Amino acid sequence: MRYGHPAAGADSRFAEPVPDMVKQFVVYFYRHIRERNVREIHTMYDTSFAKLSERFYKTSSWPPVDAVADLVDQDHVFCLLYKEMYFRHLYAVAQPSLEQRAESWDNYCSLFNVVLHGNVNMQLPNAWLWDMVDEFIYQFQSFAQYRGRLQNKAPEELQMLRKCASAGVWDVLSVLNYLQALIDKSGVVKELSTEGGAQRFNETEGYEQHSSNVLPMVGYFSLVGLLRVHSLFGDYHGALKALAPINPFVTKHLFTPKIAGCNITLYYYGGFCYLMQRRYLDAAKAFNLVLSYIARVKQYHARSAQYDQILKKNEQIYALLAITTALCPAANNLLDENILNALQEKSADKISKMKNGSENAFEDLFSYACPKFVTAAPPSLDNPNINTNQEAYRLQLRCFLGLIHEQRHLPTLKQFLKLYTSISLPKLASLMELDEATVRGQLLVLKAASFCKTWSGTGDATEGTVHAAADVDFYIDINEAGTELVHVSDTKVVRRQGEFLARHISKFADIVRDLNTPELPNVPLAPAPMTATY
Amino acid sequence: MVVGADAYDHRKLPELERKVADQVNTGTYDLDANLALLRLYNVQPERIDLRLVASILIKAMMQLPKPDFALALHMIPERLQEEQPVAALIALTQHLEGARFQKYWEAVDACRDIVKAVPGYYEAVRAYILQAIQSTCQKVTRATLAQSLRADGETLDKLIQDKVASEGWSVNKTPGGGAIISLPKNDMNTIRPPQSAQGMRLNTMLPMLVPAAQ
Repeated sequence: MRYGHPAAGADSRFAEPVPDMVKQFVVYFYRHIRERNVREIHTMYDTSFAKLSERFYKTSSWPPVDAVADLVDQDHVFCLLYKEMYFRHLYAVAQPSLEQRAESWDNYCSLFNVVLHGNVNMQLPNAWLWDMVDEFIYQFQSFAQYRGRLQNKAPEELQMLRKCASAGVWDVLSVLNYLQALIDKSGVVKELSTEGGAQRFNETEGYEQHSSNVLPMVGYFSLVGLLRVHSLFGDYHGALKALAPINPFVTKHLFTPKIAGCNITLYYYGGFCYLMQRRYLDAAKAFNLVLSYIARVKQYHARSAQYDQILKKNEQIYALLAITTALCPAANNLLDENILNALQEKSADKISKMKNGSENAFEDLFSYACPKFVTAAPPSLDNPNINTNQEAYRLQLRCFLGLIHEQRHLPTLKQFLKLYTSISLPKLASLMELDEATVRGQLLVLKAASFCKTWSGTGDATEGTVHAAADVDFYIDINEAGTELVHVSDTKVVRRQGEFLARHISKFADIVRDLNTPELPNVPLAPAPMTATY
Repeated sequence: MVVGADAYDHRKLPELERKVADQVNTGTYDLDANLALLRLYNVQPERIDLRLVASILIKAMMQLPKPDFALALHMIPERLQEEQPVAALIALTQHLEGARFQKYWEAVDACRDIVKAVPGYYEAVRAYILQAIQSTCQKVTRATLAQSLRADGETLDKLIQDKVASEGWSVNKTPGGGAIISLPKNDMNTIRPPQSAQGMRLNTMLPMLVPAAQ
């Protein structure tokens, strides 16, 4: 489908000669794909493509597919794959035009239709298959943002947007339906639920001798994709429900850690959904898992294009964890010590502000760390003076701050409770400068906030049982004189001193050993080499 | 079932709308279907039926202390949240979650007509209020109960008697005509024993136990 005349720029590009190195790349890339040589495909996809982009196409797009199609026998599927990379690169280096957005949509549709209905025999690297799903959703999100900003659009552009809308370009339900169709057709849900299925899936990684890994893996990644799309609409329950065949807390045969981007997406959106559902312990568990994962693997990505994104997500997840622990201090007990230390280092003062009920502190962190929400409905093209992009974000922020506002008295209440083992309700009320009925109500609110639904080892990730998550324990009684008394007990959790001591013992042992190591000859005493290994 | 591809099909909208009406009539509840309807409404705002949105919210309110109401709210456009009856329902839920029960009873009268349309509404709210009190208090005065539930005289007497029989409440009359009610202890209205320290993982101890390995 054509959405307009090709821009003049595209024509002149077409005329530009394709460098020999690029030609060679295309030829070899095509050959390796035909020969199902996954290892080589991966190297070319991951390394060579980035190097050539850096050298020839740092600020411009790759040659249009027509310029290379003859090198690859006009192979239909290869051309779709080439365009997939072409558009991804284009989105990364420039602001795509509406026409390009529409063409990329068409390309994804054709590509997914081939995967769904064609008899695909290819083997492609799983990292690429994840990138496809990831980029598909990213471009959808990007289109929704683009569509929301109508003020500066020319009449022709609005006209074309109408055309796109009626052609279903980046249509919300179509996006969801593609992901769902890929899941259904792949049979991945059934495979993961059969006994030993998850283990087999994890071991083979979808690569089987005589079949293609494309559909099974794209289906698997689409589960994580649905989690993300639902989250973008604020549908947090639907998000976890859609993810159900993958349980982020059953890590034994979990495949996602093998693809960093996929694993981070899984826990970032999964954790965010838990946070918005007020399942703080689950949120903390999810964030803790992924933060220690990132700490472990980030060194391997230091030179990859995703490195900056990984670091950004890392910071955002720490911000979400800060919100989680501020709302539910008991969540701290679930964190590894190094995560807890890093959290303190990064946001100790923000956490203490949030714990004192500062709505601004909550808002700052929320707006920094939340997903880029999108409005599902298209804006009214007849009234182009509004910007609908902020709407989706404002709605989510409003709901979140509503909860914070409702709990604004709790920090003070907790502070007073912690000073006593028992205190009469009238006295507590006078300390808080509120009336008795209000304080009794606030105690009920605090009690309710001290328990949250938590996944308890059975069922999918939406299930769970109610668990205590309190940092102060109390109940209301009435004494013989007829006065209401609040009995309090601080729930001091014994920190795992053992691990702390063990770590310091081994650190100390290291120091002692280093000191005892005889000096190596030829090593200058000062300055000590930074990379010295002993 | 509204799962998988069905959940993203706008042709399912009438069916999902019927389901909401069914839930109201039969006293059943289907969160997934309701959220699926809100999702489709989000895609096609021109088809939003405010009465059904209100029904979904009332049904969700009846699920307290579950966060269903909040979940639905995340999917209802801000513009609608400021309109009636949605705005009033939000206020009611905030009063309930904030345990401002007297305020709730004052406000609910203004919405009498729409909540009355959902059978079992008041029973569900009273059950929630009682649950909130029982999770916090071991004893409660009759006066507090009366205020929180907006029930007095014979109605309240009957409710208390039922609970004495079925859930083990006990009543002590106090001079002056009042009464103090003892509520059975449960996991929430008692103080839990402190958590004991957890064991240490072998991996943590290994470096100390095998210094020779270094």
